[in-house]
Amino acid sequence: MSSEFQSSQPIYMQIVDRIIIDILQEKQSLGGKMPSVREMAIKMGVNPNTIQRAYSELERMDIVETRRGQGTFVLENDDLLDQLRDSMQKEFIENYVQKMKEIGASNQQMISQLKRYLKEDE
Amino acid sequence: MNPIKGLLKKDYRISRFLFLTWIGAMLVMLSFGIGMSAYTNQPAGTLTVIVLLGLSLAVFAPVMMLSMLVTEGKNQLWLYSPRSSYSLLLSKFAIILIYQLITQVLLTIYTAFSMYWFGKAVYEQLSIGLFLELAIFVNIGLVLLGIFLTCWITFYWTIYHALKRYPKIRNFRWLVIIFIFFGYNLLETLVLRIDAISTFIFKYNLDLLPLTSLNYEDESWNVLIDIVEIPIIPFFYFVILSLFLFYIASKLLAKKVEV
Amino acid sequence: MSIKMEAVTKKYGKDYALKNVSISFEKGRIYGLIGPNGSGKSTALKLITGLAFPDEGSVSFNNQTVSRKTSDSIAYLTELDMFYETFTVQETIDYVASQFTDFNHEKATLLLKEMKLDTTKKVKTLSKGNRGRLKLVTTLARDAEVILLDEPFSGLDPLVRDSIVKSLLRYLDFDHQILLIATHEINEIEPLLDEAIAIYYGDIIGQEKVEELREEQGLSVLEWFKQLVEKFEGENK
Repeated sequence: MSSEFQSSQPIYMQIVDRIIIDILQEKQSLGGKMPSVREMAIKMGVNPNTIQRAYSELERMDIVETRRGQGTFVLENDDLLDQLRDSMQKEFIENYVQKMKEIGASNQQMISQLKRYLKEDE
Repeated sequence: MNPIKGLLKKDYRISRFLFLTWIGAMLVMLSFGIGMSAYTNQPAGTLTVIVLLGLSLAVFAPVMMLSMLVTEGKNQLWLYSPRSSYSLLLSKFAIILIYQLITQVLLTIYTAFSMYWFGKAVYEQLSIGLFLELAIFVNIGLVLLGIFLTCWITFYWTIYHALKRYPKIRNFRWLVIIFIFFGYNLLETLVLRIDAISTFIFKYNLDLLPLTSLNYEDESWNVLIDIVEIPIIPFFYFVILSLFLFYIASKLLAKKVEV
Repeated sequence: MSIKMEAVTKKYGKDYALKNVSISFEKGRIYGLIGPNGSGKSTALKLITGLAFPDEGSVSFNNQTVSRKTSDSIAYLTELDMFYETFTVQETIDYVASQFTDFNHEKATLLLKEMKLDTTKKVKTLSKGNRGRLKLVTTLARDAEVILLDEPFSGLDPLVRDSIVKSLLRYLDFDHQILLIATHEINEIEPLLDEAIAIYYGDIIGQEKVEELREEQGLSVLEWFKQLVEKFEGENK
């Protein structure tokens, strides 16, 4: 299959995340046209109804808009990038914190581990 | 390509190899006959070949049908078609008939040729017209016999495959076939033993043609002319029986043979 | 347009292939019939195509009892080899095209190109992967109302699977067709499905919309299927 999906989360939500990441990485430009539902379905190897649902969700989040007869476009909202980056970061941090808590790490340890990791990475 | 043409083409393709092999074998035999006759300067060579091939033509059609059905039986996917089971089977009959006619025309020409070459005397007794009539008669007879036996084979094959659904008898399906075969023949024999019936059946005859048989004695051909009588009731019985077998085979194929 | 199986039982001798099964399929949806090998998936598909007949119950397509004639509207891909060995790829396609009036030659040409099949090659010389592709070409090139795929990915390597999924998505007419995929490779097809139907040795043990399953129960189809089997085995000890 073209894409692997995690088992617990709805597939359409995972697609929403991927599209947002694409926008952050500027693979999908602001104001640019999104692939049609079918094209996206083919690209990801996913049921078109699922893609449709992901697009609706993106529309609800004010990230894209559907123009009648033209297709779906990413909104040209200057604040959008920052907002998305912000919320993504929050989400990842939440994940990190939650996982660390699960194994009993303290707030102190979370910070120090992260610092140490970043140093190693450099 | 329309569906019927498609079926015909498919049936031709799955049987072509066997047919060409048969034609090849036949040509070898024919040349062998000519060779023998030329060498001995006697018609015995060609005559033997003609008789042998003539006999094998009686089973040619059913053997061909069986080989085609065996090919189809491997996955039964010929049944994945919206065509009726009649057309699925008739297409095979049509192809076999064409093969049979080609073979028979070849053999008839060969017979005429060999008689002309090795038995000119015959033509002094036998007019071309009579030879043609005789040839047509024998050929029609062979075709009808072929169709009749092919109906039986098709019938047996569909019974065999319809029984596949029942695992209890699945391994003994061939016993059922043998039972039907002997059962029917026994019945036929017993019925014919009853004098009243037997007399009735052979009461009406149709004088069809003078039957001409060829004799070869003292290095010359003799033609014996006789009247051939076709018993009408058995003839129609066989026609109806063939249609019945074909009908049952088609019904079984449509409703009982599964993929 | 719909397919209905009502109280269908199909036995092979003593063994039940399907036990009192009732399901229906509506157009515009992709269904996955999932279960282990030998659980009755193939039998269900054959019954819908009219290639096998129920012992009890009825199978209908658009409110008409299914017969051999139904294959007119149903494109069926068998798990078996469905070819005449001596045919070339082109002859195979021509034959299928001659039998089914809904065969779309343009689609077939595109599919052949996509699947990189050499039309002059004989079927018997094709690799397993290429046979699988040819089966898909002859099935997907039809503008049939229903497409039934029996183990379409079996024996194919991941790259081929990928191209097959893409072709499926490209040529499907989503608003007007029913697509039903029978397979034991659950993870592979999950993202394609609207609904999953779990079949386990003749019994339908569950039916769910895939996204609802994830949203409401937090389960993937495979996890759900495993739970169902455990529960079923527990109840039927």
